[in-house]
Amino acid sequence: MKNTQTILIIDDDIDLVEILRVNLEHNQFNVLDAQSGEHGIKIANELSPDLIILDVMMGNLDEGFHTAYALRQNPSTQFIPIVMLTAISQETGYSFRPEKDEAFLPVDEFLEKPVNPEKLVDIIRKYLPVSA
Amino acid sequence: MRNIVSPPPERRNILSSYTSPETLRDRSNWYIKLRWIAILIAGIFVFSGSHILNLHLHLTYLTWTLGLLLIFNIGYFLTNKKRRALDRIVELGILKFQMVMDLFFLTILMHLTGGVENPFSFFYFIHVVISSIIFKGKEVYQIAFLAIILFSLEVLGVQFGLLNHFHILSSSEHLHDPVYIYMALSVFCFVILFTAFLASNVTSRYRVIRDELIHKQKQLIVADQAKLDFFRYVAHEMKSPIVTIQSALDTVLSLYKESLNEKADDLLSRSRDRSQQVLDTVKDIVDMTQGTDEKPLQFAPCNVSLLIQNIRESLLDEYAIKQPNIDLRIPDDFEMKTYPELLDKIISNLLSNAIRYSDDNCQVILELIKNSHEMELIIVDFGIGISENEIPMIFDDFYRTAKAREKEKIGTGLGLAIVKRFIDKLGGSIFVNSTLNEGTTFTVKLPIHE
Repeated sequence: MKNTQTILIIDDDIDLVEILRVNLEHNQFNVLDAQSGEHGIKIANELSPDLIILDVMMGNLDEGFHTAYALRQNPSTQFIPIVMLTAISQETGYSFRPEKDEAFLPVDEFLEKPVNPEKLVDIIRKYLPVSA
Repeated sequence: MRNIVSPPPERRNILSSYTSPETLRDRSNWYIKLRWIAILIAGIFVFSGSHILNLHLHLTYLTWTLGLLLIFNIGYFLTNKKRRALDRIVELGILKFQMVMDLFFLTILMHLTGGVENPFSFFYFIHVVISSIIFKGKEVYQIAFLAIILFSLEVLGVQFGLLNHFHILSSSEHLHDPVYIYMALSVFCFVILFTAFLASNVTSRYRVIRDELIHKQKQLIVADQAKLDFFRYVAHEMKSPIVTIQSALDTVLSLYKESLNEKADDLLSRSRDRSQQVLDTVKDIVDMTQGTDEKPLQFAPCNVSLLIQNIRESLLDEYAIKQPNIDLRIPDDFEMKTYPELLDKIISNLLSNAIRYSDDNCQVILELIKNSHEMELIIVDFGIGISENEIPMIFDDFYRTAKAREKEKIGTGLGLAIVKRFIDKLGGSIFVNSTLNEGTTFTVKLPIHE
């Protein structure tokens, strides 16, 4: 029962990417990573991952948001579920309750770091059920 | 950090801003108020002098003079009422006009009540003192000289028979002896000038000190902002690495628990708890400095009922192990304008405290009462409670009660400090009612903005 689902992590914190990779690979996912929004969009386009984990805060404050919008606007990536991670919820001035801001925030999940590894996997499984 | 010690160049503006047209207009208003009192007192003097002391007062003239002064003051009052401050020179002119007219009125009053016979001349000193409060330096001396000129003209005019003398005493011949006149005039001149000197000196010193204080206060505000900037910067810088450390420890403990030996597991668990502690503090400091940066908070309509329900959901999730019962007694879809981020933090902090400091399966009640101008949030728990002598300290930064430390080893002691700060920012108030071992009730009152 080998899982071949692929997850793309877009985050500029290499250490965090490695930690997420350990967790996700342990749970039988394939992991791709990108250190910038731009790079992430390119990889998403080329390799069509099954899910994207996106960090809000990269180099500039809104890079994660812009990346999310760009992914949603591109026909080849618009249906890929996005789990957004944030370090500090107040920092951007955006509202972080997606249920209130569906139009505003084009992501499927919004989690504040650090996310418990089991919880993260549970959330990912909501979008990527174990394939037979 | 920046420019806290050396006086910045805007210092000049600070000093000159205190003789701004607005300040001068306010002084004008003050002076008008003072004049009502002066008229009343003069009236009382005239009345008591004529009816009690039986002085020979010419009541007709006096009434006319005081009446005229009253009309003048009504005129000043009406023109000054709720008007915008005019040009600085115009405002100063208005004040000078009032002061000069007052000296004329005083001289007429003094003349009508016996001139040098009457200690009314003491009132000139009051005018000099008032002018030192209203004006500065040169103008005070101008007023003093005008007082001297008017007083001397009256006294000498009477002395040389140029002015009619109004007797008020039956025997006052000695008061018209040239020697007495000479002494009275010279003492008057000296005392008036000395009063002008002392009074303007004291008021100018007072102004310097006051300006200095205002300037220092501005510097303090700048320094306080610099401090907050520094805290926020440090907190943000610290948060990412701690999050990464925390994530690494979480991942190791969660994925490799079985393969860890007992001691390694124990040490890693301890590390995890301590890093959680740092993370909590960092988060609290970030909260505390919220809204102080370039991005101001948004004052926006907020569905408070929905906000509370969301907080309840996330707390039920966060404290799933404790299985708390969070009982909400709130109206449906209550909306008001507020800073949603601050309100969110206030309610989540108070509710999570209520759960943290109660036993498993605890009952926590949140009630929202909507009054006409304010809303009341009442948060009730049946937990450890707060002893009476500790209640005054619970809103202090980093303070944790003995009971709280015993119950929850880890805690930042910043939660209630943040709550208090945010409530102040929203213009509300918070009250505590607590009994040790029985529970605590927090009542938060916040103004409702439609």
